[in-house]
Amino acid sequence: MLELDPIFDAISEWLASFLPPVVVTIVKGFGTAGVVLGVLSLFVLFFIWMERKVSAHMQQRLGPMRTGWHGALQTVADAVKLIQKEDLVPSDADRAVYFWAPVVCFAAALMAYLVIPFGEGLIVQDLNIGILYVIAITTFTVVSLLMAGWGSNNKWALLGGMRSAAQIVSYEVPLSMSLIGTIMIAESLSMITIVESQSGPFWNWFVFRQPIGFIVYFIAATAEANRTPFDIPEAEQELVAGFNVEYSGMKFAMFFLAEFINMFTISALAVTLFFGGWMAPFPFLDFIPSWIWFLAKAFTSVFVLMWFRWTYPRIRVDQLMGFAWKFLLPLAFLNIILTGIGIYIF
Amino acid sequence: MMETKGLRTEEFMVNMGPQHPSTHGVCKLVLKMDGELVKEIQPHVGYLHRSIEKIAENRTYAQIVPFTDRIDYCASMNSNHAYVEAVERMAEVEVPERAQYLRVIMAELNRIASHLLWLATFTIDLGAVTPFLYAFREREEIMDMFEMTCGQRLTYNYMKIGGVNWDIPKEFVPKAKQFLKILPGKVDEYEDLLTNNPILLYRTKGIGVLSSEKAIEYSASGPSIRASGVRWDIRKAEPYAVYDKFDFNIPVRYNGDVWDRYKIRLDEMRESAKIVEQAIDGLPEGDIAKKVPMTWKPKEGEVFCRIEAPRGEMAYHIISDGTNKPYRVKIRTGSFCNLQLLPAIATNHLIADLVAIFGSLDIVLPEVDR
Amino acid sequence: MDSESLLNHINELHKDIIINSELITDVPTIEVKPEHWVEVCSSLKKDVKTNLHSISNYGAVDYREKLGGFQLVLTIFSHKHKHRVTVKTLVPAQGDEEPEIDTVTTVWLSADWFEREIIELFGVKFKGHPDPRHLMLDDDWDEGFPLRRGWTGTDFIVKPEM
Repeated sequence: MLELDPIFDAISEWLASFLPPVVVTIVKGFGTAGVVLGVLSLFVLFFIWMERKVSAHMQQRLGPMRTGWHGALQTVADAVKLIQKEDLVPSDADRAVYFWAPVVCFAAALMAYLVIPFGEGLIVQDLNIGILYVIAITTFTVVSLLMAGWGSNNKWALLGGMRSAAQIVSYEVPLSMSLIGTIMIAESLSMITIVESQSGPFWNWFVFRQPIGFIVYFIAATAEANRTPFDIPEAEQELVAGFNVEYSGMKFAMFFLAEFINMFTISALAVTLFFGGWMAPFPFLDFIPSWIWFLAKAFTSVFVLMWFRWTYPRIRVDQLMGFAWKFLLPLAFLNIILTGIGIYIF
Repeated sequence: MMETKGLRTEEFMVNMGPQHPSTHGVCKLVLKMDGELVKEIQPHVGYLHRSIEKIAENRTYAQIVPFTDRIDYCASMNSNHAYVEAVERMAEVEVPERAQYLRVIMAELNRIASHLLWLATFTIDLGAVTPFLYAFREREEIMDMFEMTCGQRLTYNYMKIGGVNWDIPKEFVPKAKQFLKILPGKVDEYEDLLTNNPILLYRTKGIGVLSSEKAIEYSASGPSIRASGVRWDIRKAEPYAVYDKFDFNIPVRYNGDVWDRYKIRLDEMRESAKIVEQAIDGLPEGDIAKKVPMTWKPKEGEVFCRIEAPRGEMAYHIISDGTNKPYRVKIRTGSFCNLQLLPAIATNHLIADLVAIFGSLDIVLPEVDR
Repeated sequence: MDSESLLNHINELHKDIIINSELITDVPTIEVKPEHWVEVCSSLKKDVKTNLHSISNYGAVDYREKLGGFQLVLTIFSHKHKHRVTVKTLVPAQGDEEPEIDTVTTVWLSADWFEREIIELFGVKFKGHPDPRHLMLDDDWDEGFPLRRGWTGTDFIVKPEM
């Protein structure tokens, strides 16, 4: 068995053998944060490369080919370039707000990983209000985008920030509502409990019991992560680059990282809530480690998001709002009612 | 003083351009915005003004041809064609029939290439990046054909007074036939990808409506006016070169919105393919150019000649004073008038619509500025 | 209507005003005095038989040496009747003068930019033009009028004969 859970247990036991408990807690905290950050950074590096390759092959191109095997090191080269870049601050910018916006954005994106189970037992902290926590913490993104838009003191950036505020706040509502059906069936807000209530063969996954909920969730989550066709806050063709038009170097890289982390977050949440988390589709496939199942599902979901992006045109801002309030939200409510009836009958 | 209650809002000015991804070149639109709503548009052009009209007064007739390439770089063949046609009409130069056919083949292929380029940039304006490269794939084929004919891929300098500079190589005809065979299928592919996409429909239907009255009043031309229900194509109305020998339709649509301007260009690609096919089949043997001496002096006179370029009417008004240089060359281009009507149809739209409308008019800025 | 009968029709319409009329490469061309410029233009647009409702081309020619002024050349056409007409007028000017003439933006909206171009490039003023700012040149351009014959500027030097 290649489960990673025992490794972490062994490390913490080894630490406890010669350190006082307080120090162990602190070391464990920082250590886990470091591991999560490192793993996510690796994922993001991979996603950027993957996005380039996926888009290239959809567009009959090859994409990056020169740096490393099939351009695998292209992202690394880009990261190095971004780090070396001069950090420009517009002269009229609100410096404090301008500085903190990417930090808040990145932190908000990262904090969601506190409650996401990467595999059996591979969770940083199993909160009993897991879903609520994720929804609350990801909404912080909107604050950072608004800060970026306002702090840059650029009209395009401000328009982008305003758009993102309107968009994320609107889509937050159907997003939360779409998850209620799942919570009703699982009778828990804890991620672990939700995954465990989907155990068994794949038809026990909530996507088959909550199809409407899943569709609403996936659309709303795409909008939350500002992905095409809902990428209006940074619509290059309209707002140049939206909220991050004035950012360069590492600050820009942080927005970029946060965007890809968010994309993985919504994929991970989709897998956890609707596709059985780390569970294998059939019990006899259990010999494959749980974290591989989780990542395989999540990466497929990320691929679908990329597929959206390179296929669809961008929707207009008023149509976007109309879609959220007039279509997704009633659908989410309908889903709650149907779920309620279902639970009452069975 | 009046005390305003609640939050105060105000309109603000935004410079869209000269460096903006969707102004397709260097055009500045000064927008007065109320939030996302565009209340007023003022186009500022001239960033690419090279005064080709002034330069032309100091060049011999033959030397002007390469400059015409740079007027509309997306459709150089058509710019060439307009100029040589005007000079020939003024000086009454007989052009061999083979040259006329070659001109039509090149001009129509360039029209297809230009519309493909338009489709590519238009879809990017709407946020769909993938069709861009699909359209470029087909445009590449046309570029290859041009390259094998005249060695250039953008500014061809292919036509000259009295004919064309080079004959087509023998690989040209099979390659062109092959291309024309696949093109309708490829246009269908774009339609599959875009036409019935609900997001594209939402973004284009009923947006930026240009009524036929307004189109006439603003002297719109090309696909923009044909999408507004005016059956006007100079190839049919005042046939030049050998266009009267070919059988083709003028696609017309009646709503005048972005959607119609999109559809009409796809239809025009199909029609142009038909013309090229007929021209290749009927290509006569013979000379490709009539010899015109280097120190050629046309007789005194003037001409006004216009042709149908991909972006509308392209016209040359040339006055000769009997020397080897023209006395005056006035160039009228389709984009010049089409850009002028942008404020009339795009005000009180959202900024996203403005981008779509601007894209649908197919403005090429060097053509506006000249 | 073919070009010849169209020319006859216009000649009849404005018998006393037209100074000169001819067919230039099959385009009926008439010349009028500057004081009748707008009047002729608007009647050509309104007349049912001509109905010239669109501008095809509108430019100026520097004829100061030959004829003593700037010639405005306006080619207008009709989608309906599929014919076109060129109207010319000579705005008298000598040397560095900046002559003035009535605008035809009141007749055709699309004359706006064409006239703005003539204003900055030739120095012909249009009385009543709604927006006579520079179109192609910089707002603070002060090197004269580039399209006048013999103009040279800091960036434009006439190439010597080879």
